[in-house]
Amino acid sequence: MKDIKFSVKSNLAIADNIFRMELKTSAKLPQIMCGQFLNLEVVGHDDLILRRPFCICDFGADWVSVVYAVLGKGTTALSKLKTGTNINALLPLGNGFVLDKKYTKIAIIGGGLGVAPLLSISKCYLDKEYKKYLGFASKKSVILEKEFGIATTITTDDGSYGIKGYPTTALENDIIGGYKPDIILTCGSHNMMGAVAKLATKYNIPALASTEERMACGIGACLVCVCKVNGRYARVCADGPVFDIRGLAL
Amino acid sequence: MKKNTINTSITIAGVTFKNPIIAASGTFGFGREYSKLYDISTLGGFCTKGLTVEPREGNAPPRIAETYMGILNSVGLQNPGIDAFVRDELPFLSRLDTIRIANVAGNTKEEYIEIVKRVSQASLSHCEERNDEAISRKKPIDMIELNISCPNVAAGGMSFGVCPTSVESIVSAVRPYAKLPMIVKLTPNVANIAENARAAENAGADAISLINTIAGMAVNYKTRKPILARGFGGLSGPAVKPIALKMTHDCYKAVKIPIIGMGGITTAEDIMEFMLCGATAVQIGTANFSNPNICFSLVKDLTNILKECNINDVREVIGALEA
Repeated sequence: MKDIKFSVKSNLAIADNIFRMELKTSAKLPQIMCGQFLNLEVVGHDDLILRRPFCICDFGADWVSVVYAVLGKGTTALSKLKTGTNINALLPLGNGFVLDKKYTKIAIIGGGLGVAPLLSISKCYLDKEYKKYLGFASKKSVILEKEFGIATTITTDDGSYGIKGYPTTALENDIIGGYKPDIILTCGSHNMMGAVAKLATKYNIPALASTEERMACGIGACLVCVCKVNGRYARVCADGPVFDIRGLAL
Repeated sequence: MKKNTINTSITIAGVTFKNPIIAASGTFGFGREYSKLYDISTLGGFCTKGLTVEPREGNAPPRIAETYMGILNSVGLQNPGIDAFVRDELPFLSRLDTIRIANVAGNTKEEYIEIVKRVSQASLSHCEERNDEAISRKKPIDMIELNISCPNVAAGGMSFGVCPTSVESIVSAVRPYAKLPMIVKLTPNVANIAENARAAENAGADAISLINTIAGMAVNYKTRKPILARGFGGLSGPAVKPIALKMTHDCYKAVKIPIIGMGGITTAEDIMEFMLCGATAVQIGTANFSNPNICFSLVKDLTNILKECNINDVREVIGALEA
């Protein structure tokens, strides 16, 4: 990990209240694994003490992108950053989606903003077969559909786009139809990941889930961002954010 | 280029620090994480996360809330306990060339005595086990910071640090067992911190550090609930700096032992201000979260600011505030 100086390459709304920020750098980027995150400085706001942790949605040799919802002061400030603004980010942080070689059929299941950390999985593991299930509240909150590419099923809660219902239902229907993924990789609301945990148990499929919690240092030193894993507090930033779903209290 | 002859080293209770910059307890783990970012041996020293005899699970999350120019934390002394610390962390600490301060806490007087005893033993026996002379002279723990000021635990912690009489009683109770120089960390949540500083000094503290966090709350008006799971926490960050400066100054006038000042320090200018108010050294806590390299940068920044002010020895600054 390294604190790297980036400049904002683009920072645009991609859905209702959701922005995608692309950051480029002339520094050498450390190797990034899908599911890892960065801790982003809120430039120009000395009153905001903490950095903002975001999953790395996508990355290249000299750039990374994050996708964020505008929810509070920090994300509001970030959404106003202009192209060319210098901004520091500490990265890459945490443990991403580390997959055993034996897994070939991968089911990806994401909800809302939780689809972001799942996008680069197929980039990190090229020789796998993917099926992707992405759920959103409604048409106006659908993001990254094009980027996820083929074999992607979109669901919306209100049926305004794609299949009406939840992505977990779509996956279960495929499982009933004979699809047997070797592993499920997921990120989304607690409710959605809870439904994934049930599916994983019901059909005896391993699953990894990416979690989040209010954070400070982002590197495991301050013990602020804990969540219960197998009944004990683990640091989301350093022990996670990706955990075996069976250990999580969902 | 002119040769850099500026002295930044300071001494507290016979322990010499390369510079007055110390990373504060609770923000720096046991040093491992930040050592992946920079050489932490460039710092004057660092304080470990608060240690207790038994492992502590800590408080339920959320444990942090951001407030204007500050943060509230409610970690609740989560730590692996002294046995795991000795087993897993001492070998790492023994390799560092910086002053390592073990921050310790307990629920009861007996637990404070026990943890102070165990840390002292662990540090001293660690060097006896080594035959090599160079290593044996170096203890893996150089000092103890007695935390009688944590606002985030139900028992112990701050409850020992509020009244001057209880400060004197706990410090004098543990003093005979501390085989390393002992710093007493004071809480600002008191009527008169100078009296508590005096009580610590009378009871045998070698130094005092202040301020721990200020008890505070953050509320979400929409959910009508506190943001922190425990309801309240401790405030730190630039918001508390003026309070911390005054308390440092108040204590400086009250005691002869060295003071380690902290509270919202973010820049070398802040360090100068604390030292003018009487701090021999400073601790940097919350600022590590805004900038993970801040302590490393401050070492250079402090030298530069001393140069700008034509000060050749940082010790000249200590307590040099003019009326």
